[in-house]
Order: sequence, then structure tokens, then C-alpha cells
Amino acid sequence: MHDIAPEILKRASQGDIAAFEEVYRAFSSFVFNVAFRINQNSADAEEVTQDVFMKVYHNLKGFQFRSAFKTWVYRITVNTAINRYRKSVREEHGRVNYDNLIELLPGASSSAADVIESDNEARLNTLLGALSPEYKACLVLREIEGLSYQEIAASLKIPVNTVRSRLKRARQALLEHGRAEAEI
Amino acid sequence: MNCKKIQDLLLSDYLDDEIGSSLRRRSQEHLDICEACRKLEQELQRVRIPLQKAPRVEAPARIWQNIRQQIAEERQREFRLSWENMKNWLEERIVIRRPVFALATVMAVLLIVFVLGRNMVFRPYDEARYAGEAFTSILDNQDDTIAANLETSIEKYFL
Repeated sequence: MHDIAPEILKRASQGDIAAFEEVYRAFSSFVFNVAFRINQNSADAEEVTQDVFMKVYHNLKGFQFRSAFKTWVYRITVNTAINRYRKSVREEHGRVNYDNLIELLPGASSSAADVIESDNEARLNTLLGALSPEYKACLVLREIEGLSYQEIAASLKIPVNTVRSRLKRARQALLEHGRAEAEI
Repeated sequence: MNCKKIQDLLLSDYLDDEIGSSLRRRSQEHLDICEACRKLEQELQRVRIPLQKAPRVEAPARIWQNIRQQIAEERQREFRLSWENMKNWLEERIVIRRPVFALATVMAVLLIVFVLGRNMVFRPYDEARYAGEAFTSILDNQDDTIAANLETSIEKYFL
């Protein structure tokens, strides 16, 4: 997943906008979805996505292929998304707006499936809202994006054991949250 | 295997399928006999459902349009900046001497025009005039000695 031909990267690094668009098309869904899940609103997710690709555009020439290109993009995505989230919290604009995602779904209309979807989104955002951004990032990369422990470790530049422990703590937090809700 | 170890695995490697087959088998054997650990596993599977059902969407089209626009604006700014830098560089080196250079250039051009113009414009006119006069003279005098009417100043001098 997310493999891109070296020739396209080379052309993109030389300023070829058509090649850069191919890079964008290959990664935009990943970047947007991760940004959305960490920031929990689509406006911030759009801003983060644009920031990520402008960083890729400016730094592509200097990318020396010491790591896989996709790992580099994953890292920029998570760092930019977490920074945006922290800025939102500082500005007290930390808003949870799960309706935005429903509007973005193709062919969205009133239906039972959409209601269930909406309920799921509400539940998901409640759960993710209970986590710190670092734990949230690990959980999103693992559960939603399907990255392995190695890939997550490489993306976040942390040891695999740290990935493991963050996932454990995130899941413990979700369990406690779920039990607390059940008692209400 | 004890419950603490199993629960550790349940919260991470077991749930994420990052576990080897031997360890998976031993964990499964423990879950078969331990109700507390089995309940924890079920609870964890329940809690992860919203995450697993989370839809993935395409990034809105306007994001790429914004990126393209931002790149185009940056390139225009870079071009304007490099043009300004070049102009400044030239002005720093030429502006003080410009009046002298301009005057020298104008004088040189005028001189060239004068010299070339004299040769190209006035000489042909003189030659045409002489030829015309000679022809008229021949017709008037009907003289065979044409040379007498075509004498040049040099011939006059020597003859």
C-alpha cells in the first residue's frame, strides 16, 4: 500500500506538478483520514492535509531515501496532525464535530445505515476524545489504517515496545471509559 | 501462562495479530479455561468495533486545488524576487556610471552613423551626378574624345 515509483518521486522533486499530483493522489486519503481522526473535525483535517503536502513539496528534494518514502509521509502526517490538535486545544477550539464526516461520505442521504453510521461516529469520537494525541495516533494507525507495529514505530520514530505500551494504555483508557458509561 | 501475562498480550499483540503461532495457541488454551481473561477479550473486541467500522473517505477535491494555487503563488513570488534581485544587482554596478556610459554610447553611435552615412549616402550621389554630366556632354559635343569631359581632378593635375 502507498508504493510510488521512484521515477515519479524524482520528477516531483524536480518541480513536475503532474508527478507531484500522483504523489498527492497516492497518499491524500491516508493523510486526510489520520488528520481527521486525530483532530476530530474536517476543517482542521483539511488544513493539516494541505500543510502536510506543502511540507512534502518543499522537502522532496532533500529527501535522501534513508527511510521509505511512505514512512516519511506518515511521520509528517502524524506530527502535523498532533501539532494542530495541540494548537486547537490551546486556543480552546477543541471541537468534536462528527457530522462533518457524514457530509463528506459519497451519496450521503437519510437512511438507517446513515443513522447507524452516525451513531458509530458519535461513539468513535467520544472514545477518541478521551485519549491523549500520542495514544490516539497509535490507535488510529493500528486500528483504522492497519499499520503494523514496525510501521508505526518507524513512522513515529519510537521503539516497537513504546508502540506496544501506548496501544495497551489507549485500550485500557477505552475500557475504563466504556465501563464508566455503562455505570451511568 | 498466568493471567497477567495473558491480559498484557490481549491488550496488544494478541488483539493485533502480532503474535507468533505458538504463543497464540498457548493464549487460546488459557482463554478456554479462564473466564476473567475471556471476558476481558470480549470487552476489548467490543470496544474496538467503532474503530474497525470507521469509514475512510477521500480527501475533498478543494484541498488539491488549494495546494496547486499555493504552489503557483509561491513560484510567482520566487520569480518576482529573483527578477528584483537581478535588477538590484545590475543597478548597484551600473547606476553611478550610467550617464557617462550613456553619453559615450550616444557619441559612438553618432560617429558611426556619420562615417557610414557619408560613404553610403553622399558618394553615390556624386558618382551619379558625374555620370549624368558626362553623358550630357557626350551628347552635346558629339566628341569622340570622351576623356576630355570625364577628366578627374587627378588627371587635370597631371595633364
